[in-house]
Amino acid sequence: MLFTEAEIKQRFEDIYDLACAFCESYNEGQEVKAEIDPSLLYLCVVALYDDISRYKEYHLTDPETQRSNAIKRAAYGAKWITHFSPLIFPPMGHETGQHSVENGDALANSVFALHFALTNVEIEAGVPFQLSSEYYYQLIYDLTYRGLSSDALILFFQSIADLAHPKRGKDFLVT
Amino acid sequence: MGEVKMTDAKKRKSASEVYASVASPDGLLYHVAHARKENSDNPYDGSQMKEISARRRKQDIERFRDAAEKFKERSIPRK
Repeated sequence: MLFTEAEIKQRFEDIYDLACAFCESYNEGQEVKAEIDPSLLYLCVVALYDDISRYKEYHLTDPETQRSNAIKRAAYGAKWITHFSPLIFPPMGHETGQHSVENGDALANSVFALHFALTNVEIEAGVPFQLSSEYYYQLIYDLTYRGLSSDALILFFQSIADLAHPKRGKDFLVT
Repeated sequence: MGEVKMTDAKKRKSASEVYASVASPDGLLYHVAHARKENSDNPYDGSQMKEISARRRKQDIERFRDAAEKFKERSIPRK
């Protein structure tokens, strides 16, 4: 069964609202403000749901009982947000902008990607949780400079959700 | 560095208006409508996603600010 136009419109609007709110928080106290490029965000949404569709269609013999939609949104959202980089800094353009080194922020899209991913991981985990700053550093570094495959992201985010889950967590690690 | 004003949230287009401006099938590379739906046993709840995001985004950003310091501390200086 295919997504309807109304369903996709709703998905886009939800991510757009979430992204705008993220920018407001991200911009607090910052001199150069981030905002969303709607066209790039739309491409993220298109690619995200195309990937979920492909995953369901080709990769699993019994997808209904395997990876949750939230985990797939986390992984494919992280993948495409870092790829298309929908957070932009209009005042930073090299011709018309006011670029300065201290305001450069190449990491902003990785931070937004990680926030979107962890929001969805929390849906799967069923409880609020935070990662340590050290893990934020390592994840943001990998999302920005290294290559994590979609399948690695799915496994990683599923593992975090399982560890945080109040019932599944205690059975997940064997020591 | 001159003053850079933040976008006025009151002037921002609604999500619905923005969708109409970017989702024109002839104006983009491709469209998502051909994608199959995800698993039906996990119903989508966009309100829940936005609520969780609203609750955790400041903490996520604070963690990132701490992490950004680690980038500075651990960068290898170019010689």
